[in-house]
Amino acid sequence: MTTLKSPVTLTIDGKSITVEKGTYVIDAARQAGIHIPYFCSHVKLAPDANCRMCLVEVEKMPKLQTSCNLPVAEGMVVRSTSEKAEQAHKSVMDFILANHPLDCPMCDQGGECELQDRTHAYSDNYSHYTEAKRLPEKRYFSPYIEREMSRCITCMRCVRYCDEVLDVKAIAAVNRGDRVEISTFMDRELDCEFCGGCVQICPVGAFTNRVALYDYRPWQLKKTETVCAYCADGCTLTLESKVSENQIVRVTSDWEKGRNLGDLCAKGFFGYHMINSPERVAAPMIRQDGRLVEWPWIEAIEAAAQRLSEIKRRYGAEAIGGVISARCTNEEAYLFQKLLRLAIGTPHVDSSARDGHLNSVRALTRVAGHGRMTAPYEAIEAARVVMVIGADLTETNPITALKVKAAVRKHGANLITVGPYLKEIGPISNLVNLSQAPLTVTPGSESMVVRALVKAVVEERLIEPSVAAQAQTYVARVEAAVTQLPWPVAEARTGLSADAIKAAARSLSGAERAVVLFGPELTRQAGGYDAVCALADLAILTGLYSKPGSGLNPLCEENNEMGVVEMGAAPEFLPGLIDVRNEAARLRLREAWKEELPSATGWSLTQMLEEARQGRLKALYLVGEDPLGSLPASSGVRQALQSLELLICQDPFLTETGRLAHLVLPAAGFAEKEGTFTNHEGRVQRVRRALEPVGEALPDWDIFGQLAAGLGHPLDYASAGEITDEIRRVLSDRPDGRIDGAVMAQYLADLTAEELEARYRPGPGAASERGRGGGSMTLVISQSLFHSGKLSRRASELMRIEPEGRLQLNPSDAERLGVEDGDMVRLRTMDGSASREAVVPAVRRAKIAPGFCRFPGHFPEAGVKELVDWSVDPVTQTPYFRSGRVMIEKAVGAAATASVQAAAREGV
Amino acid sequence: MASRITRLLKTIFLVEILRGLTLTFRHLFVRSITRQYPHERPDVAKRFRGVMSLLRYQDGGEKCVGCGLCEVACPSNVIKVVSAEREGTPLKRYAREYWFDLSRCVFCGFCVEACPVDALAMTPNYEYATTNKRDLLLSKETMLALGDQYFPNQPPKPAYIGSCESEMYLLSAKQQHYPTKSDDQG
Repeated sequence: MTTLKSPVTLTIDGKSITVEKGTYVIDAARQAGIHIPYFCSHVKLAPDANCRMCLVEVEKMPKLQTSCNLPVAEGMVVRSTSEKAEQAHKSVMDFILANHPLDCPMCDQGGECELQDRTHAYSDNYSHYTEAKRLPEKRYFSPYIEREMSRCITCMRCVRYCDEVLDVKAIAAVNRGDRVEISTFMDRELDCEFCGGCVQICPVGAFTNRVALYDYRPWQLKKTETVCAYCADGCTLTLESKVSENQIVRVTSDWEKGRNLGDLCAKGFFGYHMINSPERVAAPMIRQDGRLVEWPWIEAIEAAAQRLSEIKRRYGAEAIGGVISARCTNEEAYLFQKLLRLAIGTPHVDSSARDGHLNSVRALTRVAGHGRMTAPYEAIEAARVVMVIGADLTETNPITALKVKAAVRKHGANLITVGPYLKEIGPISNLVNLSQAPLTVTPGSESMVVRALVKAVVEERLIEPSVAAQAQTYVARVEAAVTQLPWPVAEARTGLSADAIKAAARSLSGAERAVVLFGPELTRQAGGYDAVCALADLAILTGLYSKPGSGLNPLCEENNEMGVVEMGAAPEFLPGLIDVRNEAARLRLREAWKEELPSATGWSLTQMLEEARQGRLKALYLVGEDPLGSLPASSGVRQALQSLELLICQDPFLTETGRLAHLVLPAAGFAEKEGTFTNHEGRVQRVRRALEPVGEALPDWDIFGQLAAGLGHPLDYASAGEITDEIRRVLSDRPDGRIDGAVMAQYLADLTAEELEARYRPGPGAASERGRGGGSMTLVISQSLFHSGKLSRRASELMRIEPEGRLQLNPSDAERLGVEDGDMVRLRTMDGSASREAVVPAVRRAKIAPGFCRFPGHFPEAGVKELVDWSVDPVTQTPYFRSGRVMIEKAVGAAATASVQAAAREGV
Repeated sequence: MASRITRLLKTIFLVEILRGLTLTFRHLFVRSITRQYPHERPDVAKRFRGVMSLLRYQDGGEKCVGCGLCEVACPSNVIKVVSAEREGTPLKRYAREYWFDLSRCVFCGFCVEACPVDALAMTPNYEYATTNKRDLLLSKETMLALGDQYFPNQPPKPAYIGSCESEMYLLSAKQQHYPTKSDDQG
């Protein structure tokens, strides 16, 4: 047993128990194995003591006490089963049941209802109440969440959760007494984050899931605990399925399990329909006479193997490349790179983590030996200062955002947000609202803010003393380098005053525990690698790497970006983030695999496309990747794919790229396979199989194994678990997420003054930094809370919540353009003489800074991705295609919505 | 010795046969027990457990709310209920499909006991032999027809005051704008 800081001993029902000071009696009783009944108390919420169910008798106290908000005291004697307490429980039950209808048979909560259970345990089988029950008026609430107020016991858990945990405040109690109702502002239709928290936390059936309404009874469902496949937060989900129908019926999450502790976002709670989507590919397909025809598995694998061997024979193994999606498991990424490196013999293996995340991994691996978060979620919650740079955290990583909210709201941390965002009260929570001094910057200048922060730290003498003492040369070089960046330039580019930046630097370095989170608006924008390097400097100088409880946290979009890179699905890394050029490490790996592996550094995704256009790459094996759908046409992706001799697409769905493929192999979804995902914290979590794969689909690792056998180089594994064991064996000597001191010392010693100077030299000017296009507004292609990549486009409910991409812009800009919500606007860019345009609906968001607009990147058919600039990072080969300068005007007479246009375009 | 003589005499005078025939002749004057099924049919007991049926209220509305308690009570996995919301009436639950596999039923009556709205009743019908076993999978319509046939006089629906099952409540909800599931999707 752990030692308690200040133990308090009390007696509950004759049982003596010692607990930590400040514990509430109800929790102390739980620790002693005594159950005190309750309704309004909840592990996620502060005590409210409004239901009165948890009354207990306490010696020397004249009246009964609510145990859920009564802190323990030394020598306290509590009785929860005394006659007086039991009588109180019965009376409270009588009051609660007075107005509760007896519609358990038709209530979806029936069978898992806390009121049902307590009624069986604590109520007399008799009601003193004979008058008519209250009957609130039935009013429409939401197509996703059903509200039935006659069942409400007014415990306020939903209201408190929405406020305390989510910081959304979408619902509140209106009216008084027995007329009290949970409602939205002015009784409008519910418009919120749709996290489903109110449904999950409701002890009765007042809030139920309307999407799964009457589709199940709790006891019919098979529960499978797995990890969400949308974003990299790594939430534990319980997929509840009907075995006979092989269908997910609903998703829940245990309040005491996983990294999310029961909290979900709309994607987790309502996004499960993509698993059973009717659009799934059910059988392998081969291109014959220009059309894709269904084909038996054995022959499809044979054809793939035969054609790959032929290309290898004719052009050499180097003419074959492979890209795996970061939505695949670690086991699959590991096997994929083994298949390409060993069975085929090519070094060209990459993953979708190239799109931004490799910037963080490359920079941070150089500094700390790995690219994981150095402050886990618990540390974020406990931090005194949290800085969020380059991410609208609620939209990109909603559960990480909850940790930041908890840090501010529960523990009083100081939050500094850096981004082109303002305060806004809206249906979706906004971290800027929780920030006392938010840094609202010129769009696209996040990396300049980072450099200015480093300058402030150096100039204001805010360097962590231990760092200053140990790395004097490094500090001196940084000091010299930051003089390259004059304050007036930094102020002009970022739109912030030097004082504001200095204040932020002061609170960051002065904090006992500080955490910096950085996201896509830093890593996916031009110069991302340098920006992360500068951020690493900031982390080193302010002691984020050395102070316990502090850390530098990269955020990922796709669920296993961290894992696929660590598994070696990158041309520059072997499994375990070993540099391909590291001869000694490669020899060790050769020992483990007992095979020779290619020594050259391979091509990245962007290089592969370029080489395909040049005719040097002949075959491309895409696993869950859709470059045609995600990259802009200006990258030349279509020509690249069309000049290939063999394009294999392995995907659960037929993607845009899949339509060009010579061979389409149906892959199982995340709910249909076993394996592990690594979230951005670096937690490796089990993925469990809930369903049988749709049609003939197979797990990716199984397909790789079959293909390897077809290539005459068997990679035999009976299960995903065997691959996990091999990974454990091969990577047993790799660091486990702790900062590698030797690597950091090496980095500090090796860093040249020239490199540092280049890092802090401001670019040639505003025009190139903000991009071409010639417009007056900065457009950023962003992520949306309700979508994730294009996977969520297959989830019917998420598509109902957010059916089309809308251009978000500041109300003042909208007024200038004469645009109301829902009006169509025309975005135009001028690139030399060529003009490109897209017409999309607009929506006003006070959160968006003036001069800035953003469009969710999950709707490629809107054509907005064709307007942005295309460039490739010189160091990490990361493609940048998420920002540009555009001209916006109201599209008069353009009544067609984006979805209509999409349909028209598909027909062409 | 004496007993052997008695036995011999009994054998000679066919006493046992006569005794047996006496019983036979006596039964010529007793009412017969064997029934000439199918010409003669038995009266079954009032609580006889025959083929299952579904009941309606007086107004013709189905009693079943599709709660699935019969399904979970059934020891031999006979019942499958597919419940849904009644179109246009928020939260009104009903069994969109109800399947009863008579070939597996053991006539224990647990489902009837489990039903919270007394929607299930066992008819006195025991004549369900068929040449096609698929006929033994009863649909909701078949079971409702059986209910109508065997239990025609059902009481009206209780008021369910203070519940969203009550008619008053359903009417008030219907009068408002309340999109249905199919509206939303359409």
